[in-house]
Amino acid sequence: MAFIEVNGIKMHYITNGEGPDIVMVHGLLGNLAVWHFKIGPALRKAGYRITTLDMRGHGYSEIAPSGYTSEALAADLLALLDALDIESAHILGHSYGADVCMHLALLHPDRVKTLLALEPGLPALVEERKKDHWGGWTYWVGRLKEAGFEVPPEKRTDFRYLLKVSLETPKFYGPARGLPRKRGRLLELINNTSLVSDYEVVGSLTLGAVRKIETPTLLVYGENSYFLGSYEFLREALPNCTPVLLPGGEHFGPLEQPEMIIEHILDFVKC
Amino acid sequence: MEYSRGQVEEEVMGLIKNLAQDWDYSKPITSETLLFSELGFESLDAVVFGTAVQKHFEKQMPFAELLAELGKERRDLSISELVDFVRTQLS
Repeated sequence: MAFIEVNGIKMHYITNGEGPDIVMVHGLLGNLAVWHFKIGPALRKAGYRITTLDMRGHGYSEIAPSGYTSEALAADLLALLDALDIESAHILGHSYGADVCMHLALLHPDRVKTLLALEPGLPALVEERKKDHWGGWTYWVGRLKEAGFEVPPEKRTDFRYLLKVSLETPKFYGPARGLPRKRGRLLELINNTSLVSDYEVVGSLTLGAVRKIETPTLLVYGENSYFLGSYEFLREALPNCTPVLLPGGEHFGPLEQPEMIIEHILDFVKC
Repeated sequence: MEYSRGQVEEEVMGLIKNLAQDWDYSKPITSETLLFSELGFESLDAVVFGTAVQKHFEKQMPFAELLAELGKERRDLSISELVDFVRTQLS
């Protein structure tokens, strides 16, 4: 296994292939495996060097008590690029990982050739998503119900509670689908670190700052995603943005339709 | 380099035991042990293990396709089946 010391923690990463660099950042409570089923191998075969990483506290990377804001995680990403001697790269992220990538493009534009942002929520819009009527809550509660967990009404917008209950459901994706999750480390991350509160910290990535990100950006959402509010804002605010709505997908749509994503990415990074 | 089945099994087993040191699995690991339901592999473990195998044998192997197939068919993989897969890739 490959580890590298970044900002005081041991970070796990995998590098594979040869060619221009594409670096991939998973979302909240995910890990690097999400890229390795279709998207990573296809991009490697198309002639790119692929680097995937486990963010601080996730996967095999070390858990630290703090440092989980998208800005701090972008600093980890920058440190990884430095440590691996990657001068600049195409940076691909999903969900919170895409927020991290956007933060890197804002603060270190010289390191980001293109920004490939799948379903960024944008911390600066988190207040919108905290409202009771936000569709994401209904969707999330519905998914839990399908898995046999009834969420009491007073908990239906409780982020920390829903994260924890979600860990009790069997896995939805991958070869271990239907089997229980290993919850220990993820519970530690939710209970004993600043992750849940850091998720809402805007930092430098204010709504105004987004307008200064000139990096060519591929912005992808599923057409049924409950993050479309962020899509509407970003497609208008990002100065150099190519917006894409995937037919039928939800928040995980871009990962569930890898063939489409691969095609869009390969077209975009070539330009 | 040519590998016999016995050699591949020995090396694969060595890689698994190396990774499994940190895991919560106390029973003996045999060629019939199932990776996901018995060893408790998660996707991440499978990816890391696949990467280690490819590095060890210095050969790209279609692990992603293998994992996708398992996911689709909802079936597990024994160490013995994995050894067969690696052996096919090496020949």
